[in-house]
Amino acid sequence: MTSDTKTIRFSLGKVRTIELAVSVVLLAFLLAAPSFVARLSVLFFILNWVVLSESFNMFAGLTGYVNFGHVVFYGVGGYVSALLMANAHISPYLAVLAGGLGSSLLAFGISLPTARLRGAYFAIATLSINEAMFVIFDNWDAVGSAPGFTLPLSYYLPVQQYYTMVVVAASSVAVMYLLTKSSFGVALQAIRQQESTASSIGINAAYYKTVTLIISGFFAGMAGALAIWEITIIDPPSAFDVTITVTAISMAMLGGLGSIVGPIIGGTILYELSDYLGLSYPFIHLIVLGVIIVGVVLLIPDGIVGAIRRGFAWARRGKEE
Amino acid sequence: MIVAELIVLGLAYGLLFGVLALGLTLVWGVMKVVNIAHGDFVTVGAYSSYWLFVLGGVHPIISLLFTIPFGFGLGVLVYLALVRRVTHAPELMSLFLTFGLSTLISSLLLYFYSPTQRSVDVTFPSINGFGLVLPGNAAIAAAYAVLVAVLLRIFLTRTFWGKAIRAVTEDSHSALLMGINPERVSLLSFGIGVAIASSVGSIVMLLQAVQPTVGGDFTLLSFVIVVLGGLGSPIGALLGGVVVGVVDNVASLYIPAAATPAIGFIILLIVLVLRPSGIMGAKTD
Repeated sequence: MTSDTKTIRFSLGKVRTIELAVSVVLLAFLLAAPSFVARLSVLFFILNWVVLSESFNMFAGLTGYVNFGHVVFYGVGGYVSALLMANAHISPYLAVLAGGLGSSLLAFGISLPTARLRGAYFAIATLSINEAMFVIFDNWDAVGSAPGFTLPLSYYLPVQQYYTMVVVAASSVAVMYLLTKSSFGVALQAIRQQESTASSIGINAAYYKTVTLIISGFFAGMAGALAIWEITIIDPPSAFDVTITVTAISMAMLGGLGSIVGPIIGGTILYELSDYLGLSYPFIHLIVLGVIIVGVVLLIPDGIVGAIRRGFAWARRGKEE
Repeated sequence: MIVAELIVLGLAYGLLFGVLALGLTLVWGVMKVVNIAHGDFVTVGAYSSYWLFVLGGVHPIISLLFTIPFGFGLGVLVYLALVRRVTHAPELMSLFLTFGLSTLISSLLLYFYSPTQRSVDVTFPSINGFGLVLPGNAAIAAAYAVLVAVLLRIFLTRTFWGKAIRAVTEDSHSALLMGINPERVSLLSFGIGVAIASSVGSIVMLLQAVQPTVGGDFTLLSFVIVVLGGLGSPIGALLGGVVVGVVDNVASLYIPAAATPAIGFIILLIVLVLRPSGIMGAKTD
């Protein structure tokens, strides 16, 4: 245990000034934005996508396992918070938190049968969860079944929604940072590189995967809750839309899977791109996402962040020679 | 009596989807790539047959003469351009690649042919026997599945390249030492896998309506079957297909129609928890 704390402290001590400076400037911009940005909802949705792809990245990037059912966390988080707001009239902030917790619970439930599955088997299992959740919510009368339901107008508070979004987005990035740099992250790295070896030295892979999925589900659930708070309407096709998983994956891949800032970069670029494409050419949007996923895998498997990093390394080598 | 008829019907559907899963497991065995776009190649085959039927009046069975070589060519192309480059990368990458490919195929079909449901009006006379009635189209599907399974079996056991595929599946390193080019074997098996998927698409046109995003359902179905039978086990795939087909059809009697997509998922979870290596227990790792 003592060695664990030592590792954590050591790694956190290495926060570089430049990283800190960029984070502070970015955060200051986001906090001041409501006073000078006209279309606050654009920033809101960019941050929402950052959280969704960062939470996908937490699990896939750190454990090396693909969760093709990521959108179920978004959908369930949305449903839990919307139900609490519409029926129990609780504070929207608590509802967002409850949405995250609801999805964490779901993540735990999903982990029970799947945490011990290796590689492709896990991916296959998650692929089917989406379908199952859609069917459940589409036929469940207590949650409005197929028509879904609408939030009361009194809940629409653009500025408060935006600030909550900023807090959730910032904490998702911070948690990704902590996960990456802590001893917990080292264990995940061992699992990603060779699970059998990691297990043989006493790393309980199923436990680590479960905890990571729960954290990933927590943030994706809050993203869903926040999105519903902003959109005010929820129904099964929009809550469990596979396109959301596809988008989150392409954002994380484009930015750089496993990197902390990848989803911020990928999310911002792709949101702007698909916003533009979605408005002008409805069906092309998905084609572009497909091309991006395939293209990133073939050309820059470590994404934009990885490419930049390699560029720097290359420049440094050049200088030394 | 209804139950018995549903069992026979499930058997017919199950054989066809078992053969579809055979294509998936063949590719997995040789290059350890799970092709998430497998079901989308079914959609491509189905759309080819649909347009051949609508524009050229070509019977879906005759269009197999097109969809089989077309599927093989497409598979070879996709292998050379894309899949070849991730066979040695972490498994994650091939999952992402084929997932992206699946998105690409379904969205292209959506773009060009709209989300409209497409179906062809072709009916074969139904078959009566033992007091049961089997729709002719389902019988054709079963017959095609058996034909493909038998041909594949002959190919894999009696020909050089078939044996090469089995050798690489067994142990690709030793196969390489024996002078077998694993690259070429991968190319061949990916071509065959896609050819199977695309030809199953032609037959699917006889059984149901098709729209661009239906591929995901076929992929999932093949996965359920393959997991049930054990990844990499051909006989397991056929058995798994029959089990899923029968359970799916019989269960539709007892549970609401809307919940049927969940059946495959439930079967999958039960199998994954109880026996991750499948019925036939092909080895993993």
